[in-house]
Amino acid sequence: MPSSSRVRSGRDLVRLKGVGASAVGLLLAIAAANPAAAETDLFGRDTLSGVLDARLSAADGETSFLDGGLGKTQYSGGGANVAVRPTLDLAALVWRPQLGGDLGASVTAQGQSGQTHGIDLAEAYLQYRPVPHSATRFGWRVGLMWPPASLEHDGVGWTTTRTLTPSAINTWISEEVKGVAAEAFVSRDIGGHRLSVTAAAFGENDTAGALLTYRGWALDDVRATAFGTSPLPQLRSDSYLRLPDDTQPVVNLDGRPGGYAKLEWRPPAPMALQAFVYDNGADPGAVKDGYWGWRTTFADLGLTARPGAGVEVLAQALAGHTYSGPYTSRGWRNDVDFNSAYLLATEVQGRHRFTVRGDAFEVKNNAAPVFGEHGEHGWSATGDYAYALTPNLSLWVETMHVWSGRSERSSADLLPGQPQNVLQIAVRAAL
Amino acid sequence: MRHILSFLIVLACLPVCARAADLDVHVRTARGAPVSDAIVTVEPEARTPAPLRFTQPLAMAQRGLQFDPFVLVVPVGAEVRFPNEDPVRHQVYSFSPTKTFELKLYGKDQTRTVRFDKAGVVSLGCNIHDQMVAFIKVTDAPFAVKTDASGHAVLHGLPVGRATIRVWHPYMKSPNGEQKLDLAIPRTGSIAQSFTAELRTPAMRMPGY
Repeated sequence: MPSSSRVRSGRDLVRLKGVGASAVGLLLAIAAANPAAAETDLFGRDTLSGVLDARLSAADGETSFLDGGLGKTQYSGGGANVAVRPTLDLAALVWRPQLGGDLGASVTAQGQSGQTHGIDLAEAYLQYRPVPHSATRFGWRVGLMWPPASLEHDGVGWTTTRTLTPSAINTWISEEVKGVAAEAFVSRDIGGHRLSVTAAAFGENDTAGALLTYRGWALDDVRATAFGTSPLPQLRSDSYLRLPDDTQPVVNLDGRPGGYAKLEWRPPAPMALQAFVYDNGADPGAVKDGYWGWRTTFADLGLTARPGAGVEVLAQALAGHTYSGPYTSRGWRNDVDFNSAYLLATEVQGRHRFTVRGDAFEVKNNAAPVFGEHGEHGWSATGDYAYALTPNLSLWVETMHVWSGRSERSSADLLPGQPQNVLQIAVRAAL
Repeated sequence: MRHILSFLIVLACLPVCARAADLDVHVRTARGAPVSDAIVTVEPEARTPAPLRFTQPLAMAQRGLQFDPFVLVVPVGAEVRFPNEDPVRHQVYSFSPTKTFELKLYGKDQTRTVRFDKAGVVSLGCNIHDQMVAFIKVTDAPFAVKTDASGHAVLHGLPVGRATIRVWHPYMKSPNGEQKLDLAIPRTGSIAQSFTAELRTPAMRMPGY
């Protein structure tokens, strides 16, 4: 580990312990001070849940970005050979204490293969969700959280429930789009329609876009944590084009807030539409501890449809822009447009679930080529089967093919177009 | 003496004989699809102090992050149990004018009870799991039954005479979600009655706030 990362890592660990102790103390204080303290439930058996995900994977193709390459999955292949490895992919523990009245909290600690710290915070927020007294309902959340953009992450501890590997869009959301937010929600039923608006101001997400630019789109289930970092591809050794060692998704570099908003419409039909917009408000010229600010904006459209019993169709399309400093005579050093879309269909038949998904993705480089060829395009096809052994234990088999073209690979003596095949067998236990 | 004895026997049988008719109801859409979970109630014109006839258990379980059953019919004054059979906590509520209540968070294998003392419709939700929805039809009619998966329901032992039959479904496209019909209930035997009901599609329920 480079020395700067080591220093950050040690500092983050101290912060992690400090924040953890402070958070627990704060929750206990809130619970004690709340007039409805009689309704508190801090450590009852129903306040804890979790998920354990153990996998056996087989992959061919290029080296994963987690190992310094430009591979599009979390698994490094052996080129033409198949690399097989067992991993404890994820252990997540969710604590949802009730602090009295309609005030609660959600704290998710996770350990994931390759994570910077053995255990880190995935989410930690207070939530107020009063029981509605009319067709209008509202609520709020404050704390560390993913924004409500993904249609695929609806499992315990923000896990996916239809496939092991989320789409390229929601892989990126999971990896880089997370901050400390103050979020409000309101919905109303009108003539059989339900309209919902969610809006938030947030900070601590000033580097979103670094991974998407330097590595490009990916399909993995790596999850951003409060204090963790993600490695960046290291293809060039010359100091001019050498990338930073890593990027830290949850970080504040400039003190400027960002915002996001979501509008959801559920008509009187088995479908729902959502539109989500995001602007992290970051100063692209800000730099701190070796991290540059990335000004990132994107818009996302999502569709959920249930055309028949047990059948569900999801689709999302996302387009955005990110740029980062320093500003040079040739413009911003990093400047890309990015877009992606996927279509997923899933069917549940008793204990069986069958899912297929197709993804397409693209990054267009707007910066001077001398700063690096970050443009790419690609697609993937995923097939997944899950079998519920018991209500709390499931067996998964997933196969995925990813193809991507990125001219930057030439600088590492690789062919610009790279395919990869991944087979995963997983056992998931819900706690 | 023999005639008097025969008259007394017939007289003793009269209340039983007068309640011998059955009502056989089918509820379908215009396209012939069965309508399940429709509530059929019968109100005899001559309101006798007949006992209320309900065949369902008075319980609304939470199972698999859903309410079960989707529709429950209970008599006015019923104490309905809300057992939580899920491994997670639920917070059941209703803001319906018929009965406004909230059951604070409670967990697996715990039960709460609510008394419904007014006729009407109670729409249920869970404050934690927005995808959960169910309905309780509270009725003061002496006879009530729910259609099964084939849209069929039978009411036994209806009293002879004129009666009002009502069919209600939470999503029926009719005023108050119900249709009504006046019928003459015969002294014996069975009468069949079909209803055509169009249902609206509700907005999708999904996990969320």
